[in-house]
Amino acid sequence: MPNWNDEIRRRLAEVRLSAADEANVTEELHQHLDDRYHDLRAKGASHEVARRAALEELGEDGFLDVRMRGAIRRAPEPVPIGAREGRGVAGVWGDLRFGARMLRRAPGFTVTAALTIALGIGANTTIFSILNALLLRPLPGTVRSNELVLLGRTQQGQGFDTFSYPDFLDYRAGSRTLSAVVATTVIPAHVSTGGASERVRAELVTGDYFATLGTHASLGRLLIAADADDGAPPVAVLSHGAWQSRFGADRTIVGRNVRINGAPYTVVGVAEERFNGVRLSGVVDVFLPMTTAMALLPDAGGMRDQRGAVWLNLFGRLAPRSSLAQAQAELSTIATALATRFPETNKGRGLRVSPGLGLEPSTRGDIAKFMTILVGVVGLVLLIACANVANLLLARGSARARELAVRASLGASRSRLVRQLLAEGFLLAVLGGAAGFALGVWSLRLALRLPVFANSFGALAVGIDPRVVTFGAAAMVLSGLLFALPPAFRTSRVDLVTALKLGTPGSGDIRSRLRGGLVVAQLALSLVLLVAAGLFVRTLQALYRIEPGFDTGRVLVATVDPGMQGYDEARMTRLFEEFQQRVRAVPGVERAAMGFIVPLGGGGWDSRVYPFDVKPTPDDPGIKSDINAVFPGYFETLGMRLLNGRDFTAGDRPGGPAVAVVNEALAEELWPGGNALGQRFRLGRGGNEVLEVVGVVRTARYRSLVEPPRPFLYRPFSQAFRASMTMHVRVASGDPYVVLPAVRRALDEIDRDLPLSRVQTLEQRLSESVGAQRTAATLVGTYGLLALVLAAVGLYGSMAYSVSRRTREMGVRMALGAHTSDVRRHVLLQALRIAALGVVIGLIAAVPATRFVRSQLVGVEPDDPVTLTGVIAVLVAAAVAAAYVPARRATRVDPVVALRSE
Amino acid sequence: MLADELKKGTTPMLILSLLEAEQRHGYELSKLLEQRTQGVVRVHAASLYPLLYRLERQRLIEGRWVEKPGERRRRFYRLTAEGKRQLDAQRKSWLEFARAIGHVAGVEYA
Repeated sequence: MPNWNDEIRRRLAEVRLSAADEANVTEELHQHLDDRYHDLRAKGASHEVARRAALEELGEDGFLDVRMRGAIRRAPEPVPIGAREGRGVAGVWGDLRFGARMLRRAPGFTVTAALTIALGIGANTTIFSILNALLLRPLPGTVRSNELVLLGRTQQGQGFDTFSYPDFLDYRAGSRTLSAVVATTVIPAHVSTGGASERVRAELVTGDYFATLGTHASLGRLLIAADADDGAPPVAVLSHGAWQSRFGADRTIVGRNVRINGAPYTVVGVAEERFNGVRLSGVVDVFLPMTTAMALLPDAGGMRDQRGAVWLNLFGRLAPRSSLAQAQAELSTIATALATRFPETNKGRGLRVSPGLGLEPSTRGDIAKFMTILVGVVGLVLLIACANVANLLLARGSARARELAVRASLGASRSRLVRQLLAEGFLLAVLGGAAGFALGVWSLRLALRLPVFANSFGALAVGIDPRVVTFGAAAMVLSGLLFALPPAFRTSRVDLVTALKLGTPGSGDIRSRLRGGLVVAQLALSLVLLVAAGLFVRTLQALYRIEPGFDTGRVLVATVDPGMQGYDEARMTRLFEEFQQRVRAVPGVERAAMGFIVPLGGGGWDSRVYPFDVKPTPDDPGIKSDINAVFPGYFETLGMRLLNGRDFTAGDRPGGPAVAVVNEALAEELWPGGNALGQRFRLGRGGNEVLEVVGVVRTARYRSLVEPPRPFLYRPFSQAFRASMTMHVRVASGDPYVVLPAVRRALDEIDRDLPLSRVQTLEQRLSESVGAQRTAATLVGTYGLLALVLAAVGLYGSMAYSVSRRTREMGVRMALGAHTSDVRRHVLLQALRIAALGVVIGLIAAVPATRFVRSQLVGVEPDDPVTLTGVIAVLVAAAVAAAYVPARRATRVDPVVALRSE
Repeated sequence: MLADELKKGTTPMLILSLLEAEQRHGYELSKLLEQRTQGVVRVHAASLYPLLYRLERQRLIEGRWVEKPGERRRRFYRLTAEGKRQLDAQRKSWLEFARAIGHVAGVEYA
């Protein structure tokens, strides 16, 4: 007689009865089946017929377990299976509770899906936080920020430059549309509280600076209008950051004296914590009233009185009921009036009003372009993550088809099933969203270490504010809908007859087509990202291949600013010469020379140049050329090749014949095709200075690696005095930093109070100058790889699932004589078909997508064949790797087992 | 199908009536149901036992294990007082319903 117990227990396993109940029920059913079997045998049925008929008493698979649930368990499933439809809040709550239980029952699935979503949302949170801090939120520490406007000077309608002090006074006096016009400038300064002096960033501001911004003090008071009166006692306000880091958050600092560039100042207060000045590009350590602090500037009188000296940044606040357009119109009128009154200096000058503080319009535009790319990249990552989770949900939906069919057969409506599935999706989105938010906040710290953020916005307070939280929540909801809605509708379309039948649907299942489509989409999207990443990496390669025109590896640079320490010109000259001699004597130093401009620092010093035989008018723009003031030995120290003529010597004296070394680019502009050596040219507005060319050097890259050949001329320091010079030290071999202590000591021996600042190797400078490209390559590369991994996991999951569902088919194939290699090839080919489709669609999508990155590329075209081939190879390799394990599994199918599974 | 719906709704009443006279075990109930309805109502074990457990939970019937010498123990079900009341009420409404149907549909009630 057959033993029914195993079969009965199997059917009851899902009901999860208590042990006693299960024993009783099993015994009772067992007897029932026995009785049935014996009756049929007694009527003459064969063993097999009787056995099968008895088993039929248990109904179809899944039937007994559903019936048994409500009948015996004291606490039935919280969600009504069909008859009662939960509605309203209670219904949703029930859905959520049931969803939570389903997710708990499948921890592997839940963790994978939540992690995938977390990666997508994390990437988006990181990038959005940066975007928010740079472009969206108002400047921290200001009130009614929408009224604040930045003013910039235009020349022939172009640019956004600084103003002269007299112009500032005229704009301020003339404007009615702005309730305040404020002038500021940032200078490096030396601060000491008795001990060694430190180099800080000081912002010189007019008296209404803080009042206009609406900034609060965290200690003492801020600057007021009276502090800016002539003859007012010199006072200073510290930034919160400087107070903490440089003054140990000492609360007794208020009222104390500090020396700034050797002059005594009284600290009257500390600004509020969030406020770091009005420039996002750099934090300010100390705020000083402009009038008293102007004495700190070299040539203070000229700075104050000359309309030609442009050095002030202006901002203002719109008066009540004034618009940006009105302010623009009014200030333009004033600019025109000034140009008429002072044509010598103001001709062609205009004024542009730009909303918001923090960034100049052009910088804002550059950042917007850069961030657009990053937003696009992380958007794609999130899409891929969503496709991946949708795929997981679909696969799970197939596995749950029978459960859903039973619900449907018991009367659950389709909307009911969709709601249930959406509740599960919502829970996954919340889980993934929360984890993603945490991940995003964490990876934000890593991202902020990338060169472009660390160098340009070092102290940018990128934090979590309501905007970021709102964004995170929106991303969560959106991705939840994206990944949960399609599978919910797909899965809830239950075909009762097929689903309730024994056995499993084959590969022609409509769900598997949707799944394949999702995998193709993932592969296509990650191809787009990989192409973008590849292009940035190729850009970096191209940049590093560019020959800058000087040696970078063995040169250390460090700046000395004796002008701030009250030195006069003669003393400074002696200091620089003595410092050079001492550094040249340091063991390990091969050569050393000072120069004013350090290459690849981003900025420069330029002027106009004219041929000697032209007597230019003030309007004549001439040839724009960069200038540097250098000591003899500079070219050798940097390894710049002198093509012709000589280096400067001690013989080039002040008051002697004015000499210059020009680069090829300037020589070619002034004397096309001719010999520059010994020629003379005019320098400066009006061309009043005449210089003779004593040498020609090869054209190098000065401000940026990617600039076109830039005209450049060098003057001997002795004939072009500068108050701040940078020592260039070339070591014989090894790490240039090794000689830094000795260089520092050499300066200390001359003047203990002089700090060395901006210490770097030229290699570091070169690297910083391509910071934007490095950042882009790092971020896009990282996210591209992340996308590839997600897509590969998606493909793996899809193939593994497909193989497991087709176990029987594989078994039949092998039973009919298919070789293992045939089956393996079959599975791999299927994966390759999907990958090929993904590649084709991805390539089609990449063409328009890479147009967005074109502006950031150097030396490589968006359709770069190396990048495209490489990326396709990587993607196909990933696809094969993802399909290999399922393919091997397919060949291990035992035909007997496979056929029995029917 | 009308017949299916009717069967679903009436099986509990049929079981209660079969238990009215004496206590019976599950297999006996299923056989009696089939015989007395001439095979119209046929209940599988998979439906019968959950139904019995449900009726038991509603305290309409009571099951207990009975051991007889020489036989395996069996679970017998008997009607409770509450079950009897429920059965009478159902019979009454069923009769009224059947009469009403008879008047409208012109089916003679036997």
